[in-house]
Amino acid sequence: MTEDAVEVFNLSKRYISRKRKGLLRSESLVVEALKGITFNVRHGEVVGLIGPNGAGKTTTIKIISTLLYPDSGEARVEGFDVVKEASKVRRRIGVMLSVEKGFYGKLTGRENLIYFGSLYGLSGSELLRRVDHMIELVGLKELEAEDKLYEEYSTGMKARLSLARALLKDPPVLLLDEPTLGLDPASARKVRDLVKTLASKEGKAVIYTTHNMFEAELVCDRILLINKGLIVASGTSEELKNKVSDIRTMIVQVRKGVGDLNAFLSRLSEVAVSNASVEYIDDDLVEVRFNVKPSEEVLDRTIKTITVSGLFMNSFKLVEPTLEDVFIYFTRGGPA
Amino acid sequence: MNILALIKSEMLLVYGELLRRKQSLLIYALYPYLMTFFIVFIGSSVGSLESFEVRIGVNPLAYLMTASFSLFVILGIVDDVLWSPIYDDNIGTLPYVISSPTPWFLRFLIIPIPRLVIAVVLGFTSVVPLFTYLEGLTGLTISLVVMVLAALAGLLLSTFAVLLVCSISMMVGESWRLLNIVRPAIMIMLGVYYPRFMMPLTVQVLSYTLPSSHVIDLIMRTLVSGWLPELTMAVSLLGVGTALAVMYGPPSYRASKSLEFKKLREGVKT
Repeated sequence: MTEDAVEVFNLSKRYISRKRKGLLRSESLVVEALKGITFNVRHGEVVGLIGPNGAGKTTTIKIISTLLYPDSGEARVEGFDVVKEASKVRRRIGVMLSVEKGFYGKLTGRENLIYFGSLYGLSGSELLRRVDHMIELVGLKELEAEDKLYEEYSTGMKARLSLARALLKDPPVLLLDEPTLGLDPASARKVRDLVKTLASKEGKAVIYTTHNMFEAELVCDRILLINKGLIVASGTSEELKNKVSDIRTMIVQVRKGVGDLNAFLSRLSEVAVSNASVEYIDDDLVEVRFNVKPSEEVLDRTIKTITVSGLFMNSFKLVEPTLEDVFIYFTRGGPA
Repeated sequence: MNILALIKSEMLLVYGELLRRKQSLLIYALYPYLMTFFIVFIGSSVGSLESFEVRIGVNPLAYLMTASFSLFVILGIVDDVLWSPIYDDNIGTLPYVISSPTPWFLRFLIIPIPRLVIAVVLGFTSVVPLFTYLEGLTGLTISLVVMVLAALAGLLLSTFAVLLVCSISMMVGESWRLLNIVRPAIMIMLGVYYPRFMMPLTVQVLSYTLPSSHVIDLIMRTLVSGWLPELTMAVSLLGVGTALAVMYGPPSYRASKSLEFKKLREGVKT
């Protein structure tokens, strides 16, 4: 067994679809989902794949879970090629692709697990023992949900059942695609804690995709920022923040309805190193957040831009960037 | 891979879904009666039950009930093989099925077994009571033979059904609408309602290529003779059917692999 649980080398994938142009004509649309990404995941490590929608996260998960052929490059799970040795890979992975679906509605949670367990090669008393253990582990027992029909499950219960299925055959590698999407805080915490424990105590290698930066910081030992099919930055959350050590996040609060906010945002490109995000704080205040390389000149020009746009500035702060700011810096603006 | 465990879990799925949808179970039990009475009703408006008996040599009710029951058993196989991937795709279970170590081809062969068992057992609510009512103990014996043969006809269609469904899905994509083409074609070619000897030559030739049509032929001969079939004839018809089913094995395996390849190249919907 190699030390790396998952090895991905120069993986590329293009999707070709047809766009209708009138009744008879159509044209090919090529979307490059992955443009040669390379990374690895070690046993006992949680690696977060973070990126905006359409960045290539799910495509990567699909290829590693043998649900999609890559165009070029290689992916290996415990040394086995995901294309040429798919059946060996399938014995080594647990997959969670969607929280909301993926089970049979007219079966109970327990019955669903028994069904998938036998598809995964478990049988007899071992199957029942694993099912009971998983029900207990993910907390379905304490919710008294194991014998409820799946169609009666809440989103939190569905997520727990989905995680239970991924763990059913005790795989060394877990592929979790947005496992806490739509969950209430308690259920999300349960899932996060479980993932951390599985990696640290049982040595499982986990690939974890999420949009939630707070969660990524909490769960992932290493983060890969992926954008437009490329890994644009990688490292621990601290390392990522250090990569932008010359960057600060400027938070400007202005009065709503006073001055021209759009003009301000368009002029910001002269000083900011990433696109600005705008948040309406309350009826009166708007918060504009953007990354800058701080210097006296930049500060002067920012204040000038605010004044020229006729905005009424309520407050002005320069703070250390959060992981979210790093994410925005790399995915929307990027290094200059 | 524990095949018995796979069959058991497939039974859990089918029976769970069926027993928790009481209307489906009722429709299951009524299907042979509905089909029989529908055909008798239509047939009576253009001909008579007596002329049917003279021409075919069997009581029309017994014939049509057997035909409906056999068709119900056999079409269940085609429906299951075609429906299952589409259903899994719709409810989002397909990626988990594909990413499991169980080969797709094996699953295709196992999927129809639970429904086949139900369909055959439902013979006790259709062919058995009717035959017993019409012919007493002899009828009961014949109906039991019919049930066994129908089960066999269903099983023998598996490899052909996989080949057919995978090939069509490869060519035109997966759609439940395929059932509208596949079902009537198989219905005619099997010879369940329309005996093989009465078919036009082309359809007759096509019918010979269906493994189950030979078993259906045996069932119909049993009905016409009014007693158990002659051993030599039974063995030869079952032999041809089994040989065809085995012959369809390798190409249907390749077709299932090709369909899987196509799906993985496009990407399984998640």
